[in-house]
Amino acid sequence: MSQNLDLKAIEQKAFRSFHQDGLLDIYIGALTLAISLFFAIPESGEREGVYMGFALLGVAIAFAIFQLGKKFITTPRLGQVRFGPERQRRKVTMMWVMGGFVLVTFGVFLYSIYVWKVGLPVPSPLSASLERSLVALIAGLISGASVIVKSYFMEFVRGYYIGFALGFGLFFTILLNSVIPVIAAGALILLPGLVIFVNFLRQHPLPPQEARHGSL
Amino acid sequence: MAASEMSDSLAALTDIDRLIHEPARLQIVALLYVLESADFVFISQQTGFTWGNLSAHITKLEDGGYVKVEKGYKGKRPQTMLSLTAKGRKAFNAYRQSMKQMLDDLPE
Repeated sequence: MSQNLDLKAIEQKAFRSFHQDGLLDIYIGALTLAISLFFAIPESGEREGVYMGFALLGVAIAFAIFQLGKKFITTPRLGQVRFGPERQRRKVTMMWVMGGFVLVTFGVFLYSIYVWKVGLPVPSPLSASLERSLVALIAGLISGASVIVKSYFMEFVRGYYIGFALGFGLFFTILLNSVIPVIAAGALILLPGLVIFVNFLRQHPLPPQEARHGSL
Repeated sequence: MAASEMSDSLAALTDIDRLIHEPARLQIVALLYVLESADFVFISQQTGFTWGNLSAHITKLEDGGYVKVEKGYKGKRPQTMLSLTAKGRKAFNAYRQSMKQMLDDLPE
């Protein structure tokens, strides 16, 4: 009986079913590609505004695709569900942890602006290349770890791969001062997401309208 | 095991809640037990039942007072959400207990 009726497994399967549409992969992949435009700005600062404008537009498009896709493509196929109190508690914990990540990221961002405008309070004992490595490491760790931690709370198994790809992509982009690693990371996240999304559409046809209300 | 004990165990089988015991309904009730609520599409996706089959089982569970069917709207779209009632939850717990007890009592 316990083998046939594992309630935890039933709940877990139901919860994880919401990640089988590939939309989160597409969203993070598209976001990474949009962010890559920030790293593509020439050293001279030429047409900086255009790059930043397109990057922000890309972020907005990625967000819109994710939200609209969930609403108009995934939900009508997978249905509506409200999970139990344990899941809701887990979601609140995740929000607190992610809030911590946002605060740390914001702190690092403010500090980098300060150093850029004012300079370091004391002369750095590190060489320029070592400083670059340190910045690359911090950026890679924060971005990768935030996705991995969020994936842990969401039980989104592919998220671990996405976190590693994103972290390594950002790390090598900053370390090598080249936009290629972050573009490669974005593509490595986006392309599997597209394949998963197409498979999802094939496996989950839209149910008839009447069936959604149990009147068939 | 004595013959009388064996016959007691077999007699206990007749006390099993048949509304829940049917395999398809057991799947539906077990799924709703771990969720707060879900609609027809979600339950159909998770269990693999056809619409007609699912609808028939839900009707039986609703008639038995185990499942609550709430018809409403989300924006302009009609939405029907299903959830286990307190009676349904209690019945499922009792079913689990009695099945476990019965299977544990069987001789090796």
